[in-house]
Amino acid sequence: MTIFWMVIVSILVLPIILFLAVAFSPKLLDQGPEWFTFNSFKAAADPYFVRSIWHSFVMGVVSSILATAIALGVAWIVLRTNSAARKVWNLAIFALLLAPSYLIALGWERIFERAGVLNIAGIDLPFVRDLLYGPVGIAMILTFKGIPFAYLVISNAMRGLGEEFEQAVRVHGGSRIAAFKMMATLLLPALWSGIAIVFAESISDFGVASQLSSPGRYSVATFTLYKSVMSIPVSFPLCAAISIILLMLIVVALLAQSRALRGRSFRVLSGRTRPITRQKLSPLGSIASNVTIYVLLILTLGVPVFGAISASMIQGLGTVISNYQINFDNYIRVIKSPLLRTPLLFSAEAALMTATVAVILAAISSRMLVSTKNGPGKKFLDFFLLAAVGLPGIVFAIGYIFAYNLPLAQKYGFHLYGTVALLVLAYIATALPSTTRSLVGNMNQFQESLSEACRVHGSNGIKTWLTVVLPLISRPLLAAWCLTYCGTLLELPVSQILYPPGHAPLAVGIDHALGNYDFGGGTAMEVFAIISALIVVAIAFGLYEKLAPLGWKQLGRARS
Amino acid sequence: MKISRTLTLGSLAIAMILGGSVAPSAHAADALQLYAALDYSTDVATAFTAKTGIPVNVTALSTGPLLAKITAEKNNPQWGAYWADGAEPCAAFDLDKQLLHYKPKGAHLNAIGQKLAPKSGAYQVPGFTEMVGVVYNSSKVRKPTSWDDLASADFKNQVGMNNPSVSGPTYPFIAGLMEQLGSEAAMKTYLLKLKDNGLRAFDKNSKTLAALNTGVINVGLVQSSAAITEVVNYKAKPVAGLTPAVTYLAKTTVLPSCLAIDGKASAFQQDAAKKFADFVMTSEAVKIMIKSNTGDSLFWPTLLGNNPAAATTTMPSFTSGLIQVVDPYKYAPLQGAVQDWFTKNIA
Repeated sequence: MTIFWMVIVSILVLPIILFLAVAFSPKLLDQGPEWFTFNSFKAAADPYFVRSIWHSFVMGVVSSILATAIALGVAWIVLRTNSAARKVWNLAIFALLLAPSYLIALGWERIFERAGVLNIAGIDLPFVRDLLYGPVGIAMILTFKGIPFAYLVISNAMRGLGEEFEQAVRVHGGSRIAAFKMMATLLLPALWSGIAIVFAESISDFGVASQLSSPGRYSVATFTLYKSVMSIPVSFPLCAAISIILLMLIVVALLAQSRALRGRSFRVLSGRTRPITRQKLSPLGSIASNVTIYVLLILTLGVPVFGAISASMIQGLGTVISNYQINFDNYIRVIKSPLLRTPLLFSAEAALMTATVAVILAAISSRMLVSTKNGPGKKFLDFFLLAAVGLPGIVFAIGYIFAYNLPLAQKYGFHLYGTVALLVLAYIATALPSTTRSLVGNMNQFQESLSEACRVHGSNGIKTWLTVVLPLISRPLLAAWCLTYCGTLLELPVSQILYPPGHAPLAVGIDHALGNYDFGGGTAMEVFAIISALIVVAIAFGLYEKLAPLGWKQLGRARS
Repeated sequence: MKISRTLTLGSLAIAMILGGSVAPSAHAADALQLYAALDYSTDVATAFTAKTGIPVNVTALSTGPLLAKITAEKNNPQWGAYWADGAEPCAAFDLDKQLLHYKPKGAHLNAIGQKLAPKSGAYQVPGFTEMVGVVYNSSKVRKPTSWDDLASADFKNQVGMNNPSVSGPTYPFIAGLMEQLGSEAAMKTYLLKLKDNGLRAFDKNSKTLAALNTGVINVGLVQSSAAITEVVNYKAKPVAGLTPAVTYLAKTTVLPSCLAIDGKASAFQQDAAKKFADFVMTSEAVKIMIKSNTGDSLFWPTLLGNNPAAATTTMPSFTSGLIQVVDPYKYAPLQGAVQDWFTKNIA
């Protein structure tokens, strides 16, 4: 366990602590003249920053609750009913995860902006446009972006639930709604995990903020923070003070989660969990469920796809009344260019490592988080895991420079800064929190008695893990691996600050293309990256279906 | 707990082995560490290595992330040379005593080059672009004629510009406004007038041009090289309804590209950086810089006897009387406060 803690402290705690320490002690890292001061907090108390932080909190709460509620409904339709649309959703979920938030925002902008698609069609909706460039638009897109995160957590937990609890309610005369309520109650750990992840992802999201926050003058904390980091001259003490306030918001989320789950047990995952029987929907129910899923897919996936197409294939959209051209020129150009190939391969390799290591560490972390022992270590881990999600990537990357560019460390030959190894470690640290959260729901369902029985019968720890725990959580582990792979492939802020010279990751290449006014080429690179990630996800699930023992795949299986 | 240890060790081993296998450590002490925000910097570095045998590790990012990196590394700088558009950051570094003063051997500057290069040798200026090139969609709006014209009813809800907090080249434009309007207060009044007329602020050149391309705005105030690139691109591939043209309003501010050497770097870094500065200030390097005839290559060289890339000649020359030079040492200390004001009131 000591080694686990050393890893967590090195890759997660140290960079965060050093970055935050600059708020109190700028001199510590040569960021100002004072050894101890509260001046940066005075600057952060400026009404502009306070308003931004409040906006972020509101957006986080609204989007996390909405996304989790929608994800719960979708998970029920997909896993518990015979709705025809469920197969489409299962295919679409990873595409949804991959769609960068700025692309979702871009798609919506393309539709409603001045001289946008609707405007060209003769429909001008200034009222809707004003809503889009403000809290309503930001909350809506953050909700859409949060749905796949919440869905993965909830669906994994729902698979482990079986249907005996719902049957018990029905046998005792309870209505379908009562049965659904029972299921939702048993899923509380997953629901809270979903809320916590979406909340933290929302308040740290920069894509939506950069696309919609500025034009709408509805500033959010990440936008403010990013602007402060990128400002000339940079004031890291001020950024650290804003980050500390953001973290305090996360503490609120954690307290709410802990209060909601305190003193209750949700351990339902056992070897006896039975396959569920899908509910046969009435014709009306079938239509309603299909419409729900398809409308949701159009809103969440169709719009960003349109954003990508409009940026990479249509020349002149928005300024042209007629005569615009659709072609594949950008794709043909990009596919021939080493600017795509080399960074794509590099990022794919880095994402592969990150996903593999992060899933292993996340399995340990999530097990610790659901442990019945409520010690300080658990709270410490819980806080830093969520803090790492809540802090924007750019802040995290600067923390890595503070931690791994210390003169003292380099004096003793510890040269990690500027290497691929440090970049991968930072990716792992960035991915670890959401990967862990995605497993917490399942770990919470796991009955310890299974492992204990195995150990009592003479099995060692590793064998117990491989034969008892792994079969029950193999599918969630695979989903978490895919989630991490997809998230890392297009990661920008950490890549930008920490990439070693000569090894530009894909996101840096795309950013470079966009920065050089090659909008079509940059977006085409992005589309290729998304397609490549979907292929990797398909291969991973294909291999699982082909190679995993039958028993591993039994959990969560449904009878039609 | 044994499992946790095994798994943790295993995963760390995977990370380190695979991390190392992707590429060897790039932080070789025997390579010049160049932090650069200009498109041609990698090509120039390659030519420099071919000529001198000194390897160069180029960290190519836009100005904002580069300066964030440099500031974060302040207690243990890793860069040898910094090269980007805009003199104010270099002036700020110099005022903070972070730079090594050096005068390249054999560099013969033209009149404007002599005016832009600091006498102290705090940084080198191999060329300059201008702020701002006013790029407008001539299919939709008429040509703007003055700064006041941009605040008129004809340009209501039509104008966009970069946010100086994010876009490195944009603060010199703001400094130029202060210079010609006479004070910081006058600059603020003018920008608020534009804001009342519907001015939109975007992150940087590329975002402002994207807004122009999609019709969100019809006039963009961007770096001259970006404006010219936009015009050239659409001339090569015309699109009905979008005919970008560029004009310059009096006064347009000169934006020098600056190469600075880290005063705290190791002796090897400083020596390599000096040699690199010598190379950058030669005709051979200028030819490489202007070769692509697009983007950052569209600048005026400051070396005697060197001409700009063909497309750049549409930009007003030093002798046109349309352009002005501002003192970066005067405006660098104001940068933080002015940008803060811009973000809170205009962006």
